[in-house]
Amino acid sequence: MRKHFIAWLILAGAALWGGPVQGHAVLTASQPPDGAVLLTPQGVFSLTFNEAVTPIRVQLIGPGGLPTAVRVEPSGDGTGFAVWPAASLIRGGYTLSYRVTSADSHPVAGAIQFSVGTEQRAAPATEASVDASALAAIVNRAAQLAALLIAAGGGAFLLLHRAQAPDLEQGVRHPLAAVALAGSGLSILAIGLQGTVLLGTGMEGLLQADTWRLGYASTRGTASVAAVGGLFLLAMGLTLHPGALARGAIGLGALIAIASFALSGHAATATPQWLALPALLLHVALVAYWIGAFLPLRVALARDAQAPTGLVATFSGLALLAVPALTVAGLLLGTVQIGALDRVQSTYGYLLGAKIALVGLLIAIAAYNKLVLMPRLARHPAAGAGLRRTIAGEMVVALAILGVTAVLAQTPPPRTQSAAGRASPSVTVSTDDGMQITATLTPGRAGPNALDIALADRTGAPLASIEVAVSFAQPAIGIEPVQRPAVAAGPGRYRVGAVDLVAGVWEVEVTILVTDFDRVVVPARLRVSR
Amino acid sequence: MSIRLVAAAAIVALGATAARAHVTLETREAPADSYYKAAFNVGHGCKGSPTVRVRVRIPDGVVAVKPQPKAGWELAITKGQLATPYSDGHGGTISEGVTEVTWSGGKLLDEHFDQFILRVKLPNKPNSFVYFPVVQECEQGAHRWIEIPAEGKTLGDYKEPAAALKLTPKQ
Repeated sequence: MRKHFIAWLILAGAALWGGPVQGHAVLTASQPPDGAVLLTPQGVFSLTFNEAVTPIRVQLIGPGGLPTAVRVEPSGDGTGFAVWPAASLIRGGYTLSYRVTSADSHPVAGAIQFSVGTEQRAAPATEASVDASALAAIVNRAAQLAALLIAAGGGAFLLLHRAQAPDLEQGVRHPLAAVALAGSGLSILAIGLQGTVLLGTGMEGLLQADTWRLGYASTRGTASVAAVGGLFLLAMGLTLHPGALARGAIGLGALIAIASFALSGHAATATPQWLALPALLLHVALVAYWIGAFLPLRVALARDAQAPTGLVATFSGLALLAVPALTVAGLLLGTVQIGALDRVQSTYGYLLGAKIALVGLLIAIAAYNKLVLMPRLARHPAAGAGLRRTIAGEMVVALAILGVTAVLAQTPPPRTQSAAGRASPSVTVSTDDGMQITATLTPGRAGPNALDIALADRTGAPLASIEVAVSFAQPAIGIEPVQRPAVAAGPGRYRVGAVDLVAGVWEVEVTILVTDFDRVVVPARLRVSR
Repeated sequence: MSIRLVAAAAIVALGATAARAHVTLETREAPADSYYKAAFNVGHGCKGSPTVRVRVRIPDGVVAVKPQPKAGWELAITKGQLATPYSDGHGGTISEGVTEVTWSGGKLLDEHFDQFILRVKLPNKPNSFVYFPVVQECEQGAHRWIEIPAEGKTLGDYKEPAAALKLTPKQ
């Protein structure tokens, strides 16, 4: 009797449970709906499925490709969940990407897109404007680098050589403090410019608060804030009455400013980290010392042509150790970034080559200083003018090196490109049956994009099909497939009107219904640039 | 007997939850080179919308196709060139046959179940699979059960697989 009861229980359970369960879970509704434009940001989003699901991963990718932290709360009956963003949303396009398992333990993944604000479907900023903001970012970075290195290095130089030139501080403190404050201002500007580069808005973006919020949230923003803090502390130390407190402020400020380099950028994120980070910090610290010495040395020589010979000799001796060390550290970083010999022939490789050439020139001038001018200075104390000129020449070359470094900072190193391959905004794929599919993204930059598809048979004649749909995914940053239908736009031509794509390489799948009973899925890779 | 009842109940329970939204064959195994009644189970509409048309494409090697008429539905048979002509048993070859069968004009609600039936002769290929692609059109939307598993993949890997039949050795 009990065994019959168990059997009936199982049957009853099957009857009740078997109802809603189907093959795979399917998204039935979302709040906001796919493709919606929200005038004001909502506080909560939701995804609803046709059966009970368990969320594995839910991501909200915002403007500039930066993820927004979210909290996921399953609904009462488990057929959906609510998504709470951790911070209020800025204007721009968003992709809400989900991966869930249904009861049959098959994973189901997809993504919906929506935008906050009224301007998402408007044309993106003109290319000229975007290029202007990219150029401004580079120029600002170069100036910021120069100011930071001169100020931090100068401060360190003063601390290290206090004993040899005690009254040097008088003439140098205030100019260095001014440079440090200028560096702080440039670091703040860097936050806004990083936001315009991420969003692709062009210079007008600087007038919008959202651009600054995005720049602040990026790693470059964090590094800039640290640099501002360090430089401010440095400036304070330089203007305070000379004493232990002032020296402490100068030292700590310089340290923080140098350490800010480890917080962002290609070199700081290169692997292996145990090699890249120390090499980077050593490189930057030694460069700061070397560049930071120029201003104090110039001032010392201008004031008294013969007294500072001891100072110059000490510096020269230290530089003899520092320069090879920083060159080795720099070459190590370059090797890590390029990754393989065959990738030297890339934009990054050429820029690095230019930087190495300029460093060689700088070393040659420094060698001339040491081997020719210094002995001359010892014999003829009035020859200080020649040394001042070559030091000025060194500063010019150093600034050129910083300019190249700023351009390098905006150029993706080859080590990040190996996974992406040579993807471009346009690709042609041939299937085994000889069908040719050409897919082209317009404009191919971050933001709203249109995709044009041309189908041709093996002879090249346009191929008509019943319907075409496209899915876009970027697994590298966890964006699951966004589905979009394509509309017919001529013989063998189809178009997806608008899809919001962040920068990176997108895995695109074109599903072509050739006849009622034949469907072909063609994978392709398309690159979206910043 | 009670253990068997429990086992049967478990099998029913498991079967009840397996792939009920897909269009599948009632009998999923049949001997090769035999006459077979292909009954396509349509258990769901398209996201709640009623089914109004069912089209089945006859796969290569399946011949002597005769559909069963259904009250309330119109039956259409499409004939064409067969990819593989076959012998008619009397010394000749048949190169034309049924390539597609369509039931249309009816309305099967999402909460109802029905079967669409063909009688066919299966090819002489024991230990292989035959896939029947089915297009299910509804008042709103359509399901295309047309995905045929590639090498090394199973039906479970696909979202909209074709109805599959396993051919067992001849009897």
